[in-house]
Amino acid sequence: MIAGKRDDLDFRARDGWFRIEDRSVRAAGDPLSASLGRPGLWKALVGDHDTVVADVFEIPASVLDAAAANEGAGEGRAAIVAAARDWARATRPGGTISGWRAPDREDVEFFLPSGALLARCEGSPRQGGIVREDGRLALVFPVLPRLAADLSSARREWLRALLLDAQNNWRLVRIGVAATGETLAEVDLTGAPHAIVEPLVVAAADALRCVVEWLEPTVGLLADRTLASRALESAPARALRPT
Amino acid sequence: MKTPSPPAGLSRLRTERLDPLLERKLEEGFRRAAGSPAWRCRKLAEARDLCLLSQIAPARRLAVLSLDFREGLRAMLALRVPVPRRPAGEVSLVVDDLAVLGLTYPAEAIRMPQPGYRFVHVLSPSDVFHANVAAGPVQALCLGASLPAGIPVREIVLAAYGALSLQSVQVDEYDPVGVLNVEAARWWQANPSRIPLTRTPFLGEGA
Repeated sequence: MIAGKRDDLDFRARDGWFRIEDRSVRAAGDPLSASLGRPGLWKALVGDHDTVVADVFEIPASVLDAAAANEGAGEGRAAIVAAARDWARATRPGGTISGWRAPDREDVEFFLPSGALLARCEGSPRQGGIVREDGRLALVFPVLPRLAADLSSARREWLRALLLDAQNNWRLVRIGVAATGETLAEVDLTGAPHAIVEPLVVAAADALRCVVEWLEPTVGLLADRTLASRALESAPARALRPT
Repeated sequence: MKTPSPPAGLSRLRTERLDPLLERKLEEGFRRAAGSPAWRCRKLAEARDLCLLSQIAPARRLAVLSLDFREGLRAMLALRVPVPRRPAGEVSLVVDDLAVLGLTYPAEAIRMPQPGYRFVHVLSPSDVFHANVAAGPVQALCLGASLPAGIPVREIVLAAYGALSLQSVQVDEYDPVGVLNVEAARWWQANPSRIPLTRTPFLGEGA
């Protein structure tokens, strides 16, 4: 269900995902720098000319199913879905998360299978990390270090188009450029109902590895200023089609 | 199916400077590329790797004859590799030293695993006699049950070299994975001394 009023936002189940899409809010600022560190799973979908066309919150149905199964004779799947919806509402702009405490780092590490935070990129494997503070939990992977100052503007445009494409088409994951200039991929679980944290941490690590491995061959080409390529010296025509 | 260990020297792909002629071929192809910026760039990265592979391969082992970026990435390749044939009407085996391959790398391949017969067809010779190559006009080469999402094009070429030279081959007709020509599978089962056709790795010197 798509709704303009924040409290009316609700999930629509489709293709194995629960999704809330909000077209009433247009995020201000650059979608590649404004969303990193934002609590929860909301992310901006970007259309042509860098316009944010929607905010979406998506969670795999398998995560909710696993959480419901873990709860056993607890409140069941409907309660898990309701808790996830409350989380989505609380992490909208203007929403608040109160009284939430991140699980212990040791617990999060225990949830993750061995190697879950290592993206096997051939050029340089990327080691992801857990960001855990009292009021924040996120998984973060490096995508690119700060770009060389003399990287051409056309190359930067190609990179930007690539990162926005990844942001639009890979679910769960947000891509952004940090204040340090480093490009990161993240899934922020801040405020997540505790029942879903374990399966969501695992799903988030899988999603992050996939997107980082998907990006690597191409960002490696685009960001390498020593590699001359006339093919990349004119900026791309934008044709972003958000899902 | 046995998997050969990766040949040494592929790290040169990261440092080698591309020949200007090949660079021009890439530019021309890229100009007509279709798809999202991400897919166009990925095709360029994969095609560039392919060109570099042809450049570092010894003994003119690989030549990129053409590149097409319009939908998926398509390439026509000349691969210097022993390739078993059985000409029509003959019972004896002939081994050629060159295969022309059609390689197709579809957009789905960077997101989802693909069946092993999805990528490579043998265009020439037209009478390949190999357990993992389909008989008939469309000679698909099967490189395994499934190839992982995002597999680099260069790995597909290395796998094709290993498969055609029978360094890596599946001849068990009762294991449907990989066998596309049962008659050839039986023949090669009965003639294991002919396997492999060469022990020279892709980046090794020699025929």
